[in-house]
Amino acid sequence: MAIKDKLAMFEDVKGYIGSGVFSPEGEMIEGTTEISGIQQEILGSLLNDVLLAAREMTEKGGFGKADFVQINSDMGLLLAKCVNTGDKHYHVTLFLKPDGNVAMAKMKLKSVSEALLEEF
Amino acid sequence: MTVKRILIVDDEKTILNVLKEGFKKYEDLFKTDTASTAEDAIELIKKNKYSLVISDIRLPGKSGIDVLIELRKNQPDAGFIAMTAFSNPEVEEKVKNFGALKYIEKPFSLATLRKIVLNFLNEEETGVRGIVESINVTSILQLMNMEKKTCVLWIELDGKRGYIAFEEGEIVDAKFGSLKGLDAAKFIIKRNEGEIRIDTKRRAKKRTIDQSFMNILLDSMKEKDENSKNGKDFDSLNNSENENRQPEILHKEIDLKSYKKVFFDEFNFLSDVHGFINAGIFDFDSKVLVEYFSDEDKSFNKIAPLISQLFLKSSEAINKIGFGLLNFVSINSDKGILFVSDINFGFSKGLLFLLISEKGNVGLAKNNLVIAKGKIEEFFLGLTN
Repeated sequence: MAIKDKLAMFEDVKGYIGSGVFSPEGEMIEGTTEISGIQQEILGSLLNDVLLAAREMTEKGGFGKADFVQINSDMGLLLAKCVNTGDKHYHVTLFLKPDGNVAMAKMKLKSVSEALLEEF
Repeated sequence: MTVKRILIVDDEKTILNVLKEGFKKYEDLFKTDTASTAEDAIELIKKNKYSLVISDIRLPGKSGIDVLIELRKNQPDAGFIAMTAFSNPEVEEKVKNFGALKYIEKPFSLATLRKIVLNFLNEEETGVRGIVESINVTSILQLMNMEKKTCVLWIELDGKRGYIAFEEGEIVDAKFGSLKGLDAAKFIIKRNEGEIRIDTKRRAKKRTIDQSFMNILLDSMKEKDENSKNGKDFDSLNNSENENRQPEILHKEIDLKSYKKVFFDEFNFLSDVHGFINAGIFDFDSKVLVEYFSDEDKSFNKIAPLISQLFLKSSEAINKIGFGLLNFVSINSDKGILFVSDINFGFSKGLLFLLISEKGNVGLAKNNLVIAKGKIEEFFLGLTN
């Protein structure tokens, strides 16, 4: 199954808007670029900053390694997960509408992120 | 109805010809002049009086911003519409009542432009137009941001001088009179007037502002709106400076730490969440104001600057991709979940955080955080009004 097909598994989540996979350097590997009003192609580098800041903060604060960030805005939710096994490292994003099913989205994000491992 | 004059500026001559031809049948209502460079447009503006100028921003040589500044200098009542490939309808909607830039997204049809021109001229004729399309400082700042400019914009107002420095379209430094940094930038945006000069050879010597342009703009608009609702105006520089000094005075009068009980009532409410570890508030200078647990192993003191940084980066990310305005951020690690939200005390802002264990009740945590934030804000807004 290709990366695109695995991202398509998110489409069942209520409130789904779009999703993407990014390299740790911030380049989009695969994703829905045609999301109305959202410029996902520039998200990669910005997301890197956010995930790195989150990891630094949790490590220095003594509460583990952050691998997941959820950003709530007035337009919806952006969920971002960092997968880093040492030799494989990528970021997965998922956009939801404000009334989307967050719990299901988080579960799917975990399973899809793991399923993507075999693609790298 | 007198015959009006409009000017269209674009470096694509084919587009100019199509527009000129398309507008010929309206010659009894308005005459259409065209220019393919900013230099030509500026010459025409010096010679003729225009009701409306519609200009591409990216032009060879001088840019559409120069056209706007020249128009502002010579014909302050004329309207200006920017043609740009970058638009943000959400922000446009939020700031439209504050005299912000009007723009039309490229590519557009002749019918769309015709409708805009006819509406504009009709409103001008009937006196409905008012401030909305007038040319102002905010319009120029928006263009700097859209075009990702690096420059210094000098502003003279009421005999005082100031500047806003841009790097890649973001405001990085500002000064006006005795005001510095974010206060100065907001003051300039809120006044929205003055003589402007752009210096493209200069750059900011230091970075004093980290907020995104859109955040600064929207915050300023909100503050201006709140001030006008409260009967405070910005008509004179002295009033405005007093307005900007007020937070310092209030800050001395209202020592947040002396309101620990208000915070602790809400922290007690947050502590009901299953898995609760700690909650607290710190200001944007990353000083922890109050924490539920302040003992060394649980205190957020040492990581407050990193949390502020994370919040600002998240805000910047969603702004830049056009995904609205930030409400709150949550971060999951293998040991816990941290929620961070901004909080408004009326006279200053801060960040409210809540940390729960990784097995904690996430739904209730989010819900209670929103309630606690609302109650604290309500208390302080009541105190300052």
